[in-house]
Order: sequence, then C-alpha cells, then structure tokens
Amino acid sequence: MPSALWGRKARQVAFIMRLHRIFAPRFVALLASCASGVLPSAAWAQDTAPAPPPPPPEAPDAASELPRLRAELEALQHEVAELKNAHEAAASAEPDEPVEQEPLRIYGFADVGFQYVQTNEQALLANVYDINHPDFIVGNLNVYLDAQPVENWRGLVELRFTNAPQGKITNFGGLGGKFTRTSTFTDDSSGAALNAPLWPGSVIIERAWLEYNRLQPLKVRVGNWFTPFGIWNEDHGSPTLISLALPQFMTQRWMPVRQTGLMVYGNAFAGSWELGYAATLSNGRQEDANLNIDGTLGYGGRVYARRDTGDVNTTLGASFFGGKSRDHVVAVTGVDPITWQQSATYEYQEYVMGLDASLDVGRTRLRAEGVVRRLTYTPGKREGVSQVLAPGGQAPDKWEQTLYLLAAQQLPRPLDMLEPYIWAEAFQTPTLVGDGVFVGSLGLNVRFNRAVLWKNQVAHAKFFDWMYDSPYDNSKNDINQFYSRLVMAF
Amino acid sequence: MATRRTVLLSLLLPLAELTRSGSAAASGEVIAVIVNKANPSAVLDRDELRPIFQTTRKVWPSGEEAFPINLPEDSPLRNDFDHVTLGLDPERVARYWVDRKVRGGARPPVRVSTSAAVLKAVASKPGAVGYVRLGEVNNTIKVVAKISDGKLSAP
Repeated sequence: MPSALWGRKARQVAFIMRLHRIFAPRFVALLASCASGVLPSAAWAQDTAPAPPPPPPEAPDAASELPRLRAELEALQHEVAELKNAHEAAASAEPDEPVEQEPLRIYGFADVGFQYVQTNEQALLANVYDINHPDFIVGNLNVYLDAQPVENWRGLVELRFTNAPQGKITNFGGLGGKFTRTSTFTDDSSGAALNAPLWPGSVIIERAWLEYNRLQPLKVRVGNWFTPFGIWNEDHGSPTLISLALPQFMTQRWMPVRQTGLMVYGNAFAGSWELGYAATLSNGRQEDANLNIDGTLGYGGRVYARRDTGDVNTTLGASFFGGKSRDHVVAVTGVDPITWQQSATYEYQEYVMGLDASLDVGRTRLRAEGVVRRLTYTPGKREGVSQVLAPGGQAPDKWEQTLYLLAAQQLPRPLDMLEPYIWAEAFQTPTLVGDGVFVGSLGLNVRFNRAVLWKNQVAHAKFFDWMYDSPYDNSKNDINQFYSRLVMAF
Repeated sequence: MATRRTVLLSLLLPLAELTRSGSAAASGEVIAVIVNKANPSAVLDRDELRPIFQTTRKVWPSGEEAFPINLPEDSPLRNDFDHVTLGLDPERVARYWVDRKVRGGARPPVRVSTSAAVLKAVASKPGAVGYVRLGEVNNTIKVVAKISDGKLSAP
C-alpha cells in the first residue's frame, strides 16, 4: 500500500513538472507579447502617469500576433488533452479496488437491561411466572452469519446464545408436589480446579436458510425462515422494533414464528410503488423440529404494497397461514412380527389472517396490525387444559382476534435522540382468566447513535370477560410491567 | 373514507414538516449518475434509482442484473446522492441499513473508496451504476442523470 501511494504521488509530481515545463516558457512568451502589444495602449490611457515608458524597439503589430497566439492556444489545448488522457490512463493503471460483495459477513445485535413485572400476589399469573421482583436481564445475543460466496446465491444463519433453560420452572409443586427449577450447573471436567463450575446454555437457531435470488419476481429460499407475516415478524430484532414488548398474538404464537420448508418470493415495481409477495410451504407448526414429525404441512403467504420516498414511507400488507397440527404418537403393539399403532392425542386445523399498515411521515412512525385466527379440533382429539385449574377441561374450538395501534414520534432537534411512543392493544382469546385483554403502554426510546439504543416501556394489561364468563376474578390478574433494555447493533 | 384520510393527512403532514430531518445538499457540487455504456437506459429518475440503491430492485428493465456502487458514508458526494435519491440524511441512511441487516434483508451496495474506482467499476461491469462529480466524467461511461442544487434531472 505505501508503495502504491508513493507511485501515485510520484505520478502526480511528474504530471505537475510536465505541466510546468510546457506552460512556463509559453507563459513568459505570452507575457512578453502582452507587454509589447497590450500594455502600451493601457499605459497610454493613463494620462496621469508621470513617466510613460518608451515603446519597446520593434514592437510587433497586435493584429499580426493574433494568428500566432491562436496557434499557440490550440497547441496548448492539444497538449492539455494529451496530459488529461495520460493522467486518466495512469489512474486506471492503479491497483484495482475490489468491487464484489464480501463472501462472508458477521454482524448481530445484543440487548441487556432490567425489568419489573408486578401483579397481585394472589393472582394465578404470580404463581406461574417469575414476577413481582426486579430482574436484571441478559436478553438477546444474536449473531448473523451472512454468506454470499458467489453471485445470486446467499445463505443466512442467525444464532441466539442464551443461558436458558437455566432457572426455568419445571414443576409448580401442586398438592404434595415439590417446586423445582432447571439447573444446568455442573463441574467443568476440563477446568483448572477439580470442582470448577460450568453452566451449559443453549444455541438457538433463529433462522438458517439458503436462497437463489437471481430472478427479481421469483426468488427461492429453502431452510428455516421467519414466517412472512405482518410487521412484527419481519422487523424481528430489538434494534428495529419500536416497542420492547411483543404483541400477544406473537407471544401466544397464533401463527408459527418460523417455519422449515420452501419459500418463493419476489417483487415488482410500478412507478414509485413496490409490489411484493411471498408464498410458503412448510412443516407447519413443527417449527422447532428438523423433521415434519406430525406428517402435516403448513402453507401461507403475504402480499404487500410499499411506497418509500424517504420522508413518507407507506406499507400495506396482508398475510395468511393455514395448516393442520397434531401430536403424532406411534406405539409398538407386537414384536413377532413387529406391529405398531399410530394415533394422535390432539389434532386441529387452523387458519390465521392478518392485515397490517405502516406509515412513516418524517419523524412520525405509525404501525397497525389486525389478526384473526380460527382453530377447530378434530372430534375426540382436543388438547387438555391445566388439570389443576380446570379438572377435566379440554380446549375449545375458538375464534381469536386482535388489533394493536402504535404511534411513535421522534422529537425535533436538539431532542431528536428521544422517540416517545404510545401503544394500545386489544385481543380476544378464551383463557382461564378471561377472554379479553387490553394493553395500554407508553415507551421512550433514546438513540445515542446509529448503533446504540436505550429502550424503555411501561405497560398495563387488563383482563376482562369479553364473550365468555371466566371462573376466576379477572382483576387479580391485571399486570403492570416495566421493561428497560440497552440495545446494540454491531 | 376520503374525508378521514384527508383529516389524517392534514394532521400528519404539518407535524412532519415541523420535525423533518434537516438534511441539505452538503457538497454543492454537480453529481453525475453514471452507468455502463452497454446499459440501454438513457435517463434514470428517482423511482428507478432509489430501489436499486436500496437493493430492493435487483435487475434493470433489460433483465441485466443491477450492480449499484456506493462511496463511503462520510463522502459529501454520497450524502448528497442519498439525500436526493433516497430522501434520507446520513443518520437515517445508517439506521436504514441496520434495520435491513436485522431483518435479514439483501445486502447494501458494494462500497468503493474513490470516484476513480467508481468510474472503473461502472466502465467494466455491464449492470453497474454509480455516481461521480460531473467534472470527473470520462468517455468510458454514460451519464443518465445529474444532481445539482439538491435536485435530480436528466443529463
């Protein structure tokens, strides 16, 4: 690199020296001509000049000098053009800078912070979840491996590192039972001390896919990918999502968050609008398995229209997912010859549809999403509900619906690092503590720079009986939440 | 419905004007948007350039694969170009690409360090598109748009 720089500098110096050699004698000649032909007349005009210089001997006639000067000028222009070409040729001879995509990029995001979730000590939720005390949190530590070894082919693997399932409640005890948590602590057999501690965690494959993307209207992706459904599942990560808390249809997985299978997608442009689609065929609900262990397929898709002019960015979308899901059980019933019996303890069909709208106007961001889900069980194959809370209870067929609205406003300068937002969410789904929930929330995002963001949110979730009567007192299960995360994209 | 939309827009647009990011053309230089000579396009407008430089559009109308080339983020030329074609200031451009990475979207355009490298790449790659100062243009490439005073126009 220094030698390349030195060569470039040397060429520049040579270029300047050459210019000097060419222009200097001619410049002197021109000055002489001007002095002989033009200055006298100017001096003549200055009648106040005390002592006009005498005319030079053999002063040439200005008119006769004109053709010679024109010829000089043309010669100069010709030489300058030659020099320019030589300079461009020298520049083009410099070592090539790579203009290809890097074969592998590694990037990601992380968030850590604090949270406090509070509810009535007598509430059902207070005994099911670890709440009513402050928690410092290590949230996401996600690393992306983005490979593009050749043009038109790409692979993306996103891994999340977590200490889970360390600390997860595995048994609530119940009558005569014992409350237990998962402990992954063990001894490090390769440690420098005999009893050096080790706490294995988990590596979660968030997604892992390969795609061929040569054709704009038809790109093919195979592997494990996020379900193309609505806004939340597309935005996915804490640096990109406005809110910290997730909408309930996401946490309750009304559709599979990710699927393993085939996706075709593409887009086209009509003026300033982009029109796009995605169509999927997958293992359906078996999102965490490498195999289609229940033998059923899921199918879905999304269409959207987007117009992005920088200051105004509009996206309208519609998403769908459908499929059958069951618990596939195989029992060996004989050994000579070997026989077996297949059955399903539960089986249901589901259809989920969502509509979404995003509008960014200047520093204002609006998001809205509505989702409807229909779930019907095969007769005799319903899932059971908590036998402690509802002995003999079975899950009903159900309609579920939800709608949320989110509005965020980045403040004007010099407070433009602040983005307060407001969020309202209503959803209806039959649960033991009521079938209606309303969530009101306020948040404040503080953007320190393009990579670091501090996200804060308070929320109140209120349970109530919307369409059905719950056997439990809804009000005891209302939840107050405070979340705070420092987020970094890298 | 139309009335509601009108009311909503009348509420939002003044707000957007109040809070609009104050990016302005910084370098004040005339920028030439250039393509390979084999590219049949004679003129490119903002609606064609924006998705190519956002890498949401992958091919030219001719079917040739588009290959956008950017200058570094701290280049005044790049900032002017982004401001006019993407409608974004440097901070929002940076956030745009962070969001795209997190979503798993297509990669940003290839970045080179100098205008000379842009000229050379555009001259050698049939689908390439880039931008340089108008005074740096040579006869190895084709100019399809100009940017001056914060406006995109035909060459």
